Amino acid sequence: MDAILNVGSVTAAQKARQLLKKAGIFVEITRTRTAGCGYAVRVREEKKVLAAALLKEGGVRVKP
Amino acid sequence: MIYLDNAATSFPKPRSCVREMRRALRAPLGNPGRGGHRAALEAAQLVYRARCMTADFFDLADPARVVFCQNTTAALNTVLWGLLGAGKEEKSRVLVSVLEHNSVLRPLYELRRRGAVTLDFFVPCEDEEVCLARFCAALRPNTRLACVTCRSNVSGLAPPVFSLCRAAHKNRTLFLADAAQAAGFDDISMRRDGIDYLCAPAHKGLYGVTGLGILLVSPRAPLPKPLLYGGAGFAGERRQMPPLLPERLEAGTLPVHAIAALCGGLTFLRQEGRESIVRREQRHSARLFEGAEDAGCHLHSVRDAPMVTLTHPRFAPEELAEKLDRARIAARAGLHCAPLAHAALGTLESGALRLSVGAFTSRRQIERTLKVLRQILR
Repeated sequence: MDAILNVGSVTAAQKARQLLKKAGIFVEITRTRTAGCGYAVRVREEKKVLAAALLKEGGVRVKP
Repeated sequence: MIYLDNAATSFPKPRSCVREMRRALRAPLGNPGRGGHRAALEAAQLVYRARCMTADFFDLADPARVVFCQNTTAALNTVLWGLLGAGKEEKSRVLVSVLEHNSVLRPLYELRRRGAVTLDFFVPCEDEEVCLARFCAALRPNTRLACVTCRSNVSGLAPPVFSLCRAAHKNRTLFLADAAQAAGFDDISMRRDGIDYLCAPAHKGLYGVTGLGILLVSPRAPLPKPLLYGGAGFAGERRQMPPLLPERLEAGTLPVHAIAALCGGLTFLRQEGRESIVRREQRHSARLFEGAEDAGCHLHSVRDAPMVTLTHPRFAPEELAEKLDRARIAARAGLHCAPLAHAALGTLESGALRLSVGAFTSRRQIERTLKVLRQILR
């Protein structure tokens, strides 16, 4: 099962992918599933909390 | 043709630039940030790579603070209108060097006409201490922004940006650096120099193509209001532009192919080494300087610049440029859109001829140019 972390722009998604890759977490960029357009990263469910924390630390805002 | 107008745009372009652009034209690239399909994501990846390479080149930590614009003029206007044009009750005070291009001067004159700013000027010079003293003397307690070119497009003079930035910050003044001529030639570090906003073209010293300007925003600098409003690829339900960089200042579709070319240009600079290109260019311009002086020209440029700016008592600069063009040598004459710089040099009436070298200029081309110049002036 995968989790979706909404990050907003495609630049934020690229930055998120770069940050998480450095930590050994591989993600896929995808579109958000919520209303309005935007981008998200798809991450394995068990890595969701760690990934969100790493993104916060790296200055990428994860939207609810 | 001998191309000596690299200060206007560099030619030829390196193979890596052509290769990247050709690849981008052939690859199925979509619109970056405008969809979730593979082609759109490929384009977004290319744009992000360009942001990372640009941030790295100018020593800026966050690639998201690299904003792509239509050209340097658009980048400069974004900062000037975005910071100063908000219609505050109190006028903003702006300190400007007389070396500035019309892309800085004209927006500021218009802002002044509208009552938004008061302008102060200072005259940079080669002596670093004197230049700094003049800058500090012109700063006022309420100077909000200082606009200084990193290298003049007329005389090639490079004001001491690091010292000026420090003085500006001590005064709580923001620093806008125009790197139209310096980008790719001078060693510019956003972090070390303390520049708040840096504007640069992709098509000159960075060896990309026209249609792309770059704005770098330091993490401590306030974000300018957008100059353009429109699609940003996300948060489409909101009425305002998104608050975060780079999309806040990048309304509309990006020039993906020009951005690909920038990647190629930056790859060229990394592989060749900026310092080695600079040394070569300085050798060529020193030879041009010396040869033109021997031929009776009056020189108006500094010796370490990649350009030689000259006048001659018997020939108008436009006439010289025309005669050189007939010999298949491309050089630019006129005011170079920097009237105050010409006024400071005493060439406002006549203008001047500028010969600007690039990474691909050869010694043979320089000697041929001097030979033609001597024949014209005989």
